[in-house]
Amino acid sequence: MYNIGKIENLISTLKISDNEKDEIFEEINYLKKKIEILQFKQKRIQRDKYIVTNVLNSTIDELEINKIIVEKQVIELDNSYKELKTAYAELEKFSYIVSHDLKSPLRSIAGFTQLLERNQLIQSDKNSNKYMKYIVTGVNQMAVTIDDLLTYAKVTNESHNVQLSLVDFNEVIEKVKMLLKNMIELENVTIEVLDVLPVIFAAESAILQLFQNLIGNAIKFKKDEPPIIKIMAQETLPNIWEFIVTDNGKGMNNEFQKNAFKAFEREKNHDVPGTGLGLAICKKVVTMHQGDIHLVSKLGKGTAFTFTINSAKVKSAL
Amino acid sequence: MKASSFYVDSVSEIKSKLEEIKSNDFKPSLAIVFASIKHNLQEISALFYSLNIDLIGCSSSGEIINETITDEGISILALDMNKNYYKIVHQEIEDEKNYSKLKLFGEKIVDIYENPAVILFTGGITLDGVKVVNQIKNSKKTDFPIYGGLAGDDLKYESTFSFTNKWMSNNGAVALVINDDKVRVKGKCVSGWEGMGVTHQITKSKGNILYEIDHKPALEVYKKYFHFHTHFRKDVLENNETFQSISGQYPLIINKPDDYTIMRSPLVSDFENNTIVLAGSITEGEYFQFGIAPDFELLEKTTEEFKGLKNEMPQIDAALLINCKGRQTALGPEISEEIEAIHDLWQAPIIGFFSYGEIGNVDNGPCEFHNVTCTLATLTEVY
Repeated sequence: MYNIGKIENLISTLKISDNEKDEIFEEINYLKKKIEILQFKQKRIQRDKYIVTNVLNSTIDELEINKIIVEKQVIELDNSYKELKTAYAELEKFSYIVSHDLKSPLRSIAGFTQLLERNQLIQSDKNSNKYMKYIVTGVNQMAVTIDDLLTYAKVTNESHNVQLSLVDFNEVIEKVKMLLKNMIELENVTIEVLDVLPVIFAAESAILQLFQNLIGNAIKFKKDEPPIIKIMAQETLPNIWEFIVTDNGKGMNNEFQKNAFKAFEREKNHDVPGTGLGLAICKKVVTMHQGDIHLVSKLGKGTAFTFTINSAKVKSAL
Repeated sequence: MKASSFYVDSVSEIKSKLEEIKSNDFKPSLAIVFASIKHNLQEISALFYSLNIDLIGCSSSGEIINETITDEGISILALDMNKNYYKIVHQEIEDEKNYSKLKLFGEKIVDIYENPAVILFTGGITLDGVKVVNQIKNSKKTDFPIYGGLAGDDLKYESTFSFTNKWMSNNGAVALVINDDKVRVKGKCVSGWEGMGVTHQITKSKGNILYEIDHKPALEVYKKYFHFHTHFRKDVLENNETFQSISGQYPLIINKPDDYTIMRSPLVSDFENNTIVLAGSITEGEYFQFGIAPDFELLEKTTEEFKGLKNEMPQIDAALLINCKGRQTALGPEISEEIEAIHDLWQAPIIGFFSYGEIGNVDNGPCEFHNVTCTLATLTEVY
């Protein structure tokens, strides 16, 4: 241990000038101050050390507890996820089987009802005749619903086991035109493809369904004038294609726009028949291709659908 | 603008010192004073009134004069600021229900100049610094400089004062409102304190009372971290004396959504209800870390921060330095090195005091009420 007092006494006995003594004392004072600071720091550091250790230990304890909680949650989540996945797969299978299996009895009902309709005996009763018409309408409606459900379930099933190939989107549009030939001619529809559409990896049947639904909707929800449908495509980012399908139809109200892509959602006060699955199928097809779909619509003006297809992701899934 | 700073041990010395510094080209119009409650503050007010010198000041817990720290003294900054460039406004606040009066105070302040800058000192142990600053800030839509601090009383926590040359109160605020277009007021709050351990959330609070941290009673969390048996007494954190000496040095560093932090020092604890009273209000839901004073690099850190201010304002006429009393307790003799380093940057007249709270801006944040900072406000006439 140093003894400043002793040093000071020693200096005062030295045979040196007062100026020199003053200089030495000045230096000593400086050192005294430094020592004071160091001593204070040492004391503080000692206490801080205890506190920091305490804080760190408590932190470690907390983290340990949190870790255990998180681990438990991860296991729970994982289990729930597995359960959900199984349940979902079963549900998909179920809806596919149900809709598939319902088709053939429904066909029988339709057939036999038509037979009955022709039957003289029933025709003589005027009420029976009316009821028969109700049955036929009901059965037809049910058939459309089952068809849509089947497509919906099929798209889901396919997304787990995608059949991918190089798809020429120009050809897809031509095929859609063929499929909707009657409707197109009846309503005097113009379909304008404004860009050269790409040839990219995709699930062809799903893409066909997507365009069929969008173009079909544009015709179904037309105004009085003949429908004009425009199709555009652009590679906005490498391998990401953006498609736009616009129409000059009735447009949708704001409320419905929010839910348009949800299954079984239908716009109220519409006289157009439908199942509310068309856009839900579109959404599924786009999602399956790692893309997004949006719509912009104005009542009385028309609707524009924009969706993207990520061909790189699709390619890498091969 | 000329400025002169000096220090006296007693009120009786002030007059002769003022005479000393007066000359043909320096006749002070305004004085800023920080004084220990040991002195007769009313006498100081009356003296400046009789000398026809405007005055703004507050009581302190230790004074700063240029590069030196003093105890129980009086620090004075005399300025010959053009009388058209400033106004002094004061407001009695009385009690907590009367914070509405602050609104009037704020309106009075911002109406004087198009671009005002404010030097603000508030007295009153129970006064919530956050409310005072926010009420003043809210009276103007745009941000404007507010620097200052909460008066001290030599750590007695009984009564703190703010004053002018004809007004004094232990429950009021005083503002030196400056035309910022004529005398530029620029400053900064620097803390240097660092966060330790995990981030916590304030899950229950009201005003400056902290009820719960992470859904646990606030004091329990404090005890968990700061109460220990080794080295210190076993009953540490079981009465307010020990609570103050320990927790005051480990403040809350609160993360603000706009990416800056403010600090809150614990003042006292309610041991029955497990709550903690902080030196400024807080907001429920905010996140914080407990802070700790850095060991060696603090000095470099604060000097570095103020060098930034020096780059912005290479030449200044004078400055006010408001340093938290808690910093002095935590840093001990080291604090004098900090003050020396700041004075060395400009070599201009600086006076200051050790406070119970500071007002200013941290980094790019707006001017707010802080704890545990070293706050500098520079004054420079624009020509």
